[in-house]
Amino acid sequence: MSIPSDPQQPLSRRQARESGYPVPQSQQPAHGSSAVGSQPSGAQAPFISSQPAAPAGRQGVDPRIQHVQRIAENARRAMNSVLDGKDRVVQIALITLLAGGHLLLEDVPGVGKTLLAKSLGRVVDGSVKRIQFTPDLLPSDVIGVNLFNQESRHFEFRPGPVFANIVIADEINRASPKTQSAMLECMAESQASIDGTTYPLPAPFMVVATQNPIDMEGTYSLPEAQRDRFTARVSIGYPDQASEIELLDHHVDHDPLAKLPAVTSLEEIMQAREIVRHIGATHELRAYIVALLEATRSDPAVALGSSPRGGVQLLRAAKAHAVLHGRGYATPADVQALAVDVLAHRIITHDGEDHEHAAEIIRATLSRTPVRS
Amino acid sequence: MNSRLWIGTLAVIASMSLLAVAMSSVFIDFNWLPPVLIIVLVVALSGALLRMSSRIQASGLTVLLQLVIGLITVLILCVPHTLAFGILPTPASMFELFAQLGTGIDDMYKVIAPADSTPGFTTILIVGFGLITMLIDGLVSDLHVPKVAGVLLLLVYCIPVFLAPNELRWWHFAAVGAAFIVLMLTPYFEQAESFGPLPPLLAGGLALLLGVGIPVLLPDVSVRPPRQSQLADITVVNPFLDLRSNLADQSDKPVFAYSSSDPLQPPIRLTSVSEFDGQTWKPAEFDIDPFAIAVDGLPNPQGVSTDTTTTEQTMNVNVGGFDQSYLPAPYAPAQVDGVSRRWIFDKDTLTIVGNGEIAADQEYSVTYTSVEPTAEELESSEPVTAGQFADTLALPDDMPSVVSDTADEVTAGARNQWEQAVMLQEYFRSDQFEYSLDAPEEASSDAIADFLSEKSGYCVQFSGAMTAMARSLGIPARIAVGFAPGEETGENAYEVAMSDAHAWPELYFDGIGWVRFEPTPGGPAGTPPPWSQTDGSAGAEDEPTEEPTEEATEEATEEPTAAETTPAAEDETAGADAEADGMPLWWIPVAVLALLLLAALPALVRILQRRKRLGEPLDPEAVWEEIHALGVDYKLAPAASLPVRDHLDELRAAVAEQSSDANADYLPAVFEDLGEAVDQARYLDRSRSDLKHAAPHIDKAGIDEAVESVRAHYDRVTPRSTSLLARLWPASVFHRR
Repeated sequence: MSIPSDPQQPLSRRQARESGYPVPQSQQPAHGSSAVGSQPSGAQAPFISSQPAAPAGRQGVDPRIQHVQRIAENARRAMNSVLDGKDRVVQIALITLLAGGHLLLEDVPGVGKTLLAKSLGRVVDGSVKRIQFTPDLLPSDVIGVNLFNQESRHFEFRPGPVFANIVIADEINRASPKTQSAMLECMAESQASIDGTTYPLPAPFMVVATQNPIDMEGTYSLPEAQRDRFTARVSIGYPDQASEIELLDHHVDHDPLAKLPAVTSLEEIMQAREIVRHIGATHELRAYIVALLEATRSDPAVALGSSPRGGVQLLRAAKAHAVLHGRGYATPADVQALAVDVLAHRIITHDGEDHEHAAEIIRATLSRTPVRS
Repeated sequence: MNSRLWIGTLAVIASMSLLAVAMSSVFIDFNWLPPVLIIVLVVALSGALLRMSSRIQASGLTVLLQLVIGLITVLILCVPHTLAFGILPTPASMFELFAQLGTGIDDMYKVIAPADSTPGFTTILIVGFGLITMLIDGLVSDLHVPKVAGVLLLLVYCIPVFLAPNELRWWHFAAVGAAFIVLMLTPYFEQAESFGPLPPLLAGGLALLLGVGIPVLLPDVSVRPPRQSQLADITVVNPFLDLRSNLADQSDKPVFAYSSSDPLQPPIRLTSVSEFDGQTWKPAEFDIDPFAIAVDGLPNPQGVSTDTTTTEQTMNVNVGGFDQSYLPAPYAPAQVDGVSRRWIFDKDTLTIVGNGEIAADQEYSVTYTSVEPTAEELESSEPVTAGQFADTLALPDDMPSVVSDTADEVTAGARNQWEQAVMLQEYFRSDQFEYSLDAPEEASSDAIADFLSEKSGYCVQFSGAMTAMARSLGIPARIAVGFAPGEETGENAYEVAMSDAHAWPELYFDGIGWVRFEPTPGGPAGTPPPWSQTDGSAGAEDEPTEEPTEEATEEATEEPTAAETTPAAEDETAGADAEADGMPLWWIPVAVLALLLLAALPALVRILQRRKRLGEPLDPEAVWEEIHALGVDYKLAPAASLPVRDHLDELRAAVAEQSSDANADYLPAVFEDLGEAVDQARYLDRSRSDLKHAAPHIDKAGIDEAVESVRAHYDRVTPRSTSLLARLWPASVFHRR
């Protein structure tokens, strides 16, 4: 079986790309426990977890869940062929998509933030629009404008770039706060308002924002309120050596996205979201999530803990994670797998905005919160 | 967590206080109560404080530390004077404590409830309440089984029920019931935590109020009857009344067997009856003294002076089915060995009576002082003064004059009382009288008169008539009831059947004491004693030639010392011995056993827990609990934040490494299925989702093997000491869930 981004099998990955990524009928994540970090490029690795995923073909798993698993696996495979060695980020992006959230990519320039966003748009076969945020960008540049039509003598709405399935908000922290906040409504309500008229955004709608670290020049700090609206924040980071050598091979002479096919459809994504939404969460799990949130609030190193919205997003993401592991129920393991990505950007520490520090605090919170009170 | 702990402690204190209230039925006063409440408070509070430290709690040291604190408190309360610096126990304090416990146990045999709370009783109560509080505290706070603790309470309640059934009032039971309910409700108080500490406190206070308040309102101590009348409640049948039917008893079943080398073959006495109301003979009522314990030795027989010829004899008795409260013994018993301390005696008649005991199946030996006066001694005896012997000289007013007339007639010419007595016996043993069971059964005054004219009867008539006639002559007399010597079955071995029942007169001679005569000429009656033979020469001649001379010396040297020192000194030494070294000797194994049992309790509880958790139908959550508990036992418990599945995966990987080929392929699946099952049980919300989920299959065999493999794995990775400790003192038992 071909494993696209396995560094040890570079040929097979190329082969797979050239053959147009035929969709295998039974995609079975490998069986075996492996931490994500220890196997950064293994597409065989299960979705973010230390646990094995239930095999998709396993008896007793609902066929609808299996279907979602298959879609996600295909998308992940395809995106991994473009982004060398960024499996974890790809997985988080897909989970965010299925959870109906938005993604914040935060990293130094040139590590593939835009490429990730674009490839995500490509594989779901949706409209992808990109907004490059600059300090002089106005809200109307994002949402759209009402123009007076001389012929019909009416104002006509000309939708802005936000009217797309996947909106790439590039370098969102370069825009003025005013423009940033214009994104708030879009992200939270999936709708845009111009001059008193509300226009629904297409479904699915997902913002993939990229952000340079704030200590870079010419950036505004993203307001907390807006940061809170992103389901997860991830850093891409530099690729490892092997992946970087690969990258120089493919990305220099041609556009890596050119041949990336759509492996699923918007409709399928909406169905998948529906299934994820319908997964129940028992009182026990909800109690665990609340205990986690409470722990972030009571941590002495934290100035402001996670909002309740953080808990909502965490549960949604955990449900998506559970489905991708072939389960119709979310467990604390799902929560733990995603807590750092979902919660770290929501807390404000006393020691300034150090990502690693915030992640450390969330990890400490996880390790001291019992799964069962 | 802490408030849960305190609720448990409060419940224990409340229930133990209520139990103490129920215990009050056993005692007259309340002096014992304050120290008992103090020990309950100290033990329960120290338990709660120790449990607040999770480190002490996890190590299972709570109980040990509680034990130490409790012991020191007990010593301070019971034997404060033996403590160094007022707090440090010395070897003497332990010794003293055991001595006090021993005294308490002695007291228990001596008195009947309600009694004064002697220091011995108080010590027993303090120690007992301390231990029970510890046990109940452990059951409630550590093991979370208040129901078992409740049963324990009821068990303790059995003590007043058995000891003082007559003293129990309804509120004693109400107190125990309240204590029981408090314990039963403990888990609910704990759940009601969210309402604040008020409801449990309120309920506990109410229960305490009910238990303590109501007794205060009710009249209690004053209505208690005086102690003596309580003691006299020992009911004994009058064996004299049964004589006729006993004599006719045809069964050859022996009542008892005995061995004795006494050449005189004395009859074996049960008691003596001295009260004659004109209708029948009855034993004189006597004050039962619970401290007159037969095994501690009996006093010298009444009236025996040091000049009297006596011999010391021993008889070993083996009683069969004889359900009477009298202990068969020849006159005059000096010492009984081999019966419990509940056998007490009456110092006048030397009757040995069981305080709630019967003679059936007793095996004992009696050392008795056989009074064997010579004719000379009897001849020199002076008549007694009437006042002192009013009871044994009394005759009913309606006694026909024929009795005293006949007596005077028969004894005409006698020079002294002894000759009168001998003549009376001779009269009854003459040809005029014949032995017959056909005589009327009654023993009234008229019956005696009839007997003197009919001249036919059995021992009741003979002994009754001789006693009445002796009394009319001014000789104190009473009827001894018991058994004739019975049938000789071997050398010095005898068997006594019910048909050997017998009665004979005992006459009192000043300076010699009570001396038996044998007027009955037939039936089971044995030969008359030598001193009652015709002129005294027959018996007094052949026996005294050899024995009295020998005995006189023996007696002069030995008897005064033996007679005086033995019973009296033995009284003290025997008692002191029992307290000083007898008690600790049997206390030590009991205490060691109790400690061992206490030490083995966690392991036993652990085994029960395991059986329950792995019992069918299998509950995945319970199986997980067992695996988790194993981890706790081996101090390898997973972090509380680790999801169940992750821990099971770790174990699966560890077990897979070491498992044999045979189950290498299926054991991992067991762990996986278990993880799935636990997760589904906890997190699958079937009501919300219509997604299908096949329940994973877990079977007992697989689970048992998986649990065993986990244990094997833990045994492998931990040092020997840890795995041993895990089995003997499993920490999970003390683990708060």
